[in-house]
Formats: sequence, structure tokens, C-alpha cells
Amino acid sequence: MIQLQALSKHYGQQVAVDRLSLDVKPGELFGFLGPNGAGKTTTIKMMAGLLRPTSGRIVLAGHDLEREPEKAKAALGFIPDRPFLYEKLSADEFLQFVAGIYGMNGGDVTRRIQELLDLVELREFRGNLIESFSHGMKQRLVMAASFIHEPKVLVVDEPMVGLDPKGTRLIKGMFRERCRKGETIFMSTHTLEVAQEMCDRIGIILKGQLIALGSMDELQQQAESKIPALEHIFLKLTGGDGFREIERDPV
Amino acid sequence: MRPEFTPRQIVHILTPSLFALRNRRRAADRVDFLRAALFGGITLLFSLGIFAGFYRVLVYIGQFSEFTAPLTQQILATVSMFLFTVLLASNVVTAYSTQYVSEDLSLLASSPVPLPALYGARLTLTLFQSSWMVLVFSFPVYLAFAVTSPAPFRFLLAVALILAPLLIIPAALGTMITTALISVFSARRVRELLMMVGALFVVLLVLLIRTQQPERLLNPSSIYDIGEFFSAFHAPASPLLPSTWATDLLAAGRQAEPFPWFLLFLLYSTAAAAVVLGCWQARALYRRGYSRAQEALPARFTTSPLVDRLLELAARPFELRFRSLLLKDLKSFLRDTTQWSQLFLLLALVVVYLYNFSVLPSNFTFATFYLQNLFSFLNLGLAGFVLSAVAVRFVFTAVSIEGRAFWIIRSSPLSLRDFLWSKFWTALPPLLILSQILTLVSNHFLGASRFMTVLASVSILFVCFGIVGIGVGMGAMFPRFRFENVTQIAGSTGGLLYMIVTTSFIAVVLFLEALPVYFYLSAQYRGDPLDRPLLVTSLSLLAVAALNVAAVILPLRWGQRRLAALEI
Repeated sequence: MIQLQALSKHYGQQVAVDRLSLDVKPGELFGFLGPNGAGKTTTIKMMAGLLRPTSGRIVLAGHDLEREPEKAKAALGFIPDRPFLYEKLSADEFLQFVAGIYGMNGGDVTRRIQELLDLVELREFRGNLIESFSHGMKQRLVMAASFIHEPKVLVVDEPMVGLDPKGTRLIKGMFRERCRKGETIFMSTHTLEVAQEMCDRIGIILKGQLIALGSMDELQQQAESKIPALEHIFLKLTGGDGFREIERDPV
Repeated sequence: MRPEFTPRQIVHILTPSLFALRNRRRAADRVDFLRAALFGGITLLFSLGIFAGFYRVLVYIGQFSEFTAPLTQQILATVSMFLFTVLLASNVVTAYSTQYVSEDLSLLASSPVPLPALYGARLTLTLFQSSWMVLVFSFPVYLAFAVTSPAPFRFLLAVALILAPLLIIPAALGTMITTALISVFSARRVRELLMMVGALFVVLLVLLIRTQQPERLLNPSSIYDIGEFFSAFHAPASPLLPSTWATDLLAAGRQAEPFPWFLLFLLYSTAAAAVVLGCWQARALYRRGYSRAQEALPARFTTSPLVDRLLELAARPFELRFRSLLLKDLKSFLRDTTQWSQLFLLLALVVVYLYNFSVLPSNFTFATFYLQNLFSFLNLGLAGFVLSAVAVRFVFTAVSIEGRAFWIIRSSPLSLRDFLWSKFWTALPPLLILSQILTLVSNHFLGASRFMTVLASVSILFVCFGIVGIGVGMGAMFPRFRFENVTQIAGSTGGLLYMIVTTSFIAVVLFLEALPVYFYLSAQYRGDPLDRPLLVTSLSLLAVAALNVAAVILPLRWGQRRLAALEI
């Protein structure tokens, strides 16, 4: 459902993503981890069509993002890490707008918007302008917008940032439900507990290169870690002071 | 006992603003210098114009010794009152931003900075931000008073003495008014109120000045005209007003009379008292006001179900994606109070433009047929320039105004081509209507012939397509998605280039149409048939149409390419 083929992105001399290749299957929840500056957001922005790769291919739901951008994007739902929205629209109007640019119209859309506002628990705020929303409310509204056209692929950058425990739980439930329905989710996160709990497979990126890929068991084997905790595996694989610290003091 | 705060703390709080200013100067490139030189040149020209106007009036008044002193005093009083009012209004608006909504306030408000130090620093920032422009444009006025004064240096000394309190008093009062408003209403309500009242104030001021026909002062036929002109603005001078004290001090300085030192003492003590009172008020109300400024209440004045319903009905016939973008743009526009102020100003600009034609000398209609039609032709260029000025604010900004929410468009299946064409068709109708009002009404006042009226109307129709096409295209070539105020987009390098390009474009259109106008006027003069001029006119209009097609298609294509390559 998601294919990244030898994907690279260079900023001048700096290599942000280096020949990254990945294949994510339908219905899979894929976790994409890495330390700050490893190339996660750059990869995600390329998948959303916000950045152009220097080389390589991105195929979403069978459509090449470079050759068939409209078809690929029609299959994509994108949730960025920071929810910049049209502040002067109400929640309801924003969802109507998003439905419109995805070519959706009529009574079904109105019903769908009600369902989504119920789902993200924003129904009572539907008429309020977005400028009056908190960060968490905006994040939930972006989620609703990304679901509106029933995308086959959902690309999510740091979904849990700024969410309260109730919001986090809500989103976990939504993601599970969507994967159960066959939707593919590609999620970048720093919240390792969430990744360990939710993801079918995890990829770890470091300095633009994929250094580990697989299920939790496979990652544990790759890292030769005796502790089945993603935090330990992640720090061991990505190295640095953090790992040396927990080696000295595992508690 | 240790003082609660020290002046050094105020300076320390101001250092980020000073560093930002220094760093911006260091980071300036050649284009920035070019822009600064251009704006500096325009400011200088404008200042010279102000100086020339006041100088001429004051020299003229000087010829009538019995009227000189009272009239000069009246003009000085008007200038002082005007400056004081503008400064007060400007400070009220600026204080809202510097004291309550600036992004760096969260850091300052959460740190152990003593409130008087914070108040002092923000008052200084408010004063500089709101007063520098008034100061720049008041300089040529005072210079004109000085050079026509029997005691120029004494007058300039008086200006130097009154300047500090005359800036501090409105800054402190403005801050106090804003703080009082925020303690009663929410920050958003205050913003909406300030935007509306501020815009109306500017519009009324522009209209009042224009309808008093200041050009009469440059060619005064009667001394009474001057008195009449200034009395139109003259508020009753109360002996309790700081502007009255300033006027008396300036008048004494100008006439080389002994200084009324008591008035100077009053000015400085009032300034000091205003700052102390402001500080007390801040102690009592600032924390609560700042907290209220964080609250996000639903907008009251900016949303109207009736307007929304009308917009939705009006947009219904359009294709779904275009309709979605159109409704989003219109609703966002109408709900943004900063846009309203620009609309009010636009309205004032149109009224002043047309009023200028309506007050042409009464014997103008008896001027030659040739002159009337030549003016009508040149008016085409002027109307085109006005349209460009409107477009740089409303059309050039159309892409950038998506702001940081542009990711929604880029990650959606909507193509950039459709997006840009949607922006084009949204911006075109209002500009077309405006262009026709400007040309048809001004040609009516000019008494232009039917031929010239039709030619101007059709030409400006074509020109609108070009201006909008170049506007949307260049807006996409030079997008600025991070901005605090929409006017920053129009004032950017891209906006400046847009004005240069559209001005050149209008010049080319005028050049293409000069020939048919020449043939027409010659034929009319000689009494020849109009066959030949009509043929040349048709060919010329065809060339103008072709030029405009290119001015729409090429910039949109280049803008699309630039946006596609843009990394957000």
C-alpha cells in the first residue's frame, strides 16, 4: 500500500534521507521512529507531497506520487505534527471545505461530518471558529479532516503531541479501528510506549538511513537486546549517551 | 531599601527588540537596501511636498501682518491637535499588541520581572512603534514653521522641548485606555473594536482633508480660505489640553516671545504623572488583563449567519472545488477585521479619486475638446495604477494568505493549476467592477467623448485581466506564508516587484493605445471621417487583448511551477 523506493532528500550538501526503501502492507500500522533530525519529518513531508524527493519513488495505493499526484493524494490522509488551520472558519465549515476539495458533496457529506465531529468529540464546538480552539482540539479536528474521504493510506506525524490522556486514548482507538478496516497507517512518533503498544512493525531511521525494521521480536533480535522494551532497543540501536546511561543504570 | 526595579531592567527587557533590529540590518541583502532606498525616496518626496505646502501657506499668511499671528497660531493649534489625536489613536492600537498579544509576553509574564519594569519596557516599545512615522512626517511641517519664523532656532528649540512629553503623554494615555478596555471586554472584542474604530477614524480623516480641498492653499486667492480650511479641523482649544500648552509654547518660540515656562513644566509633569498613573493602573489591572487576553471567546462582530447564508447561496452555481475555495476565502476575508480596515481605506481611495474629478475647475468643461480627451486617455493610466495598488493588497496576497495552512492544499488532490485559477476568478469580478466605476464616472466628470469613454472602458476591462493574472502569478512566485499581518505580504519584495511590473504593463497598454487616440483626435480636429481611427483602434485593442492573455497565462504558469517546487 505504501512503497518508498530508494528515496533520498538532500538539502545542499546535507543528506536528510538516504536511499530509504520501505514497503507497508494494507491494514498495517507502521511505526517510524528515530532521534531528532534523523529524517522522519522529511520522509513524511515527501509522502504528503509537501517536499519533493531529490531521487527515488513514492507509491501510495498503487499511484506514483510524482506521476499521478492527484490520484495518489486522493488516497492519502495526512496529519501533520502542528495543526495549522484556517482560523477564521468554524469546525463545521472547515470539514465542509476539506470535503469540497476532495470532491465530496451532498447530504452524505453532512452526515459524515456529524459522525466525525462526534468521533473526535467536537460536536458541541462545531459552530465555533477554529481560532478559539486549543492545540488538542485543533489536532482532533485535523484527524477528522484526514478521515473525511476515507483514505486508504494515513500518514501521521507525531499524533500524540499536545493531546491529553483522553485524546490519546481516543486516537489509539481510532487508529486501531481504521487498520481493522484495512486502512494503512504510517506513523512517526517519539512516544515509544505508544509505538510498542500499537504498531505491527517498526522502522528506525538514523542519519537518513533505515537501520532497523520489523516487529518488536524482530527488532529485539536485531538489537541483540535481552530487554523486550522498545525504549531499550531504540537507544541501543541509535546509540549515543542515552544508551550508555541506561547501561550504567538500567533502573 | 532596595528599589523594586531599576532602569537597567527596562533596558534589559528591550534588548531582544534592539538585537532583532540590529540583526535585521546585518542580514539585509541588496534587495532590502533597494527597497529601503525606494521607500526612503518616496518618504522624502512626500515630506518635501508637505514642507512646500506649509511653506507656501505660511509665506502667504506672512504678507498680511494683522492676520499673521492669529492665523499661524490657529494652524499650529490644528497641527498639534492633529498630531496628538493621531498619536493617541496609534498608541491605543499598538499597546494592544505590545502589551497583551505579543508572542514574547508569555516568557516575560512567567518570569520574575517586576511589573513596573515590564510596564516601562512595553511603554517604550509602544511609544517607538506608534510614534516614529508621525515624527517623520511632522518634521517637514515644523521645519516650514521654523524657516518662515522670525526666530527659527528658538522655534526649533521649542519643538525639541515639547517633543518628549508630547510623545510620552499619548503613549501613556493610549496604554491606559487599552488596559481599561481589556479589563472590561475580552482581548478579541477589543481588537475588533479597535480595528473598526481605527479604520473609520482614518477614512473620516482622509475624506475630511480631501473635501476641504487643500489644493486651494497652494493657490490661495483669499486669506479667508486658509482660515476656513483650518477651522474645519480645529477642535475647541481647551486650556487643559497638552496640545494647547504645546501650541502656546511653539507660538511663543516662533514669535521670539518669552517662553511660558509654566506650560513646559505642565507638559513634563503631566507626562511624568501619566507614566506613574499608567504604572499604578498596570499594577491593578495588567495581570488580569493579560490573563483575559489568553482567553479565546467566540467572535461576536465578525460572524453573521445571514451573511454566511447569502455567501453560500451566491456560491451555489459554481463547481464544487471552486465553490469550496471561494467560500473559504470569502468567509475568512469577511471575518478578519484587519481586512475591513483595508476595505474602508479602499472605499476612501475610490471616493477621493472620483471627488478629484468632480472638483476640477468649473471652467474645465469649456477647455478644448483635445484637452478633455487627452485627460481621459491619461486617466486610463491613473486608473490602472489605482487598480494595481488595490491589487497588490488584495490579489497579490491571495496565495500567501493561505498562510501556514497551505499544507492542506498541497497534500490534497486539488491541483495547483486549479488552485491558482480559482484565486484568479475569485479576484477578478470585484476588480472589474471597481475599474468600470473608476473610468466611467471619471470620464463623465471629465466630459470625455463617447469614443474615449468606450475605449477607456474596454481597455481597463482588458487591463484588469492582466493585473489579476500578474497578481496571482507573482503572488505564487513570491509567496510569504509566514506573516503577522497581511500588509507585510503586500509590502514584501515580491509586492514591490509586482507594482513595478504592473506599472510597466500599464505603460505598454497606454503606448499601444496612443496611436488610435492620436488618429481619433486628428480626425476630429480636421473633421475627417472616423473609419481609419476605428480600424486602428480595433487593431490596437486586439494587441491589448493579446498582451493581457499573455499577462494572465504566463504568470499563472510560472507561479504554478514555483509553487510546485516550493518546499513547505
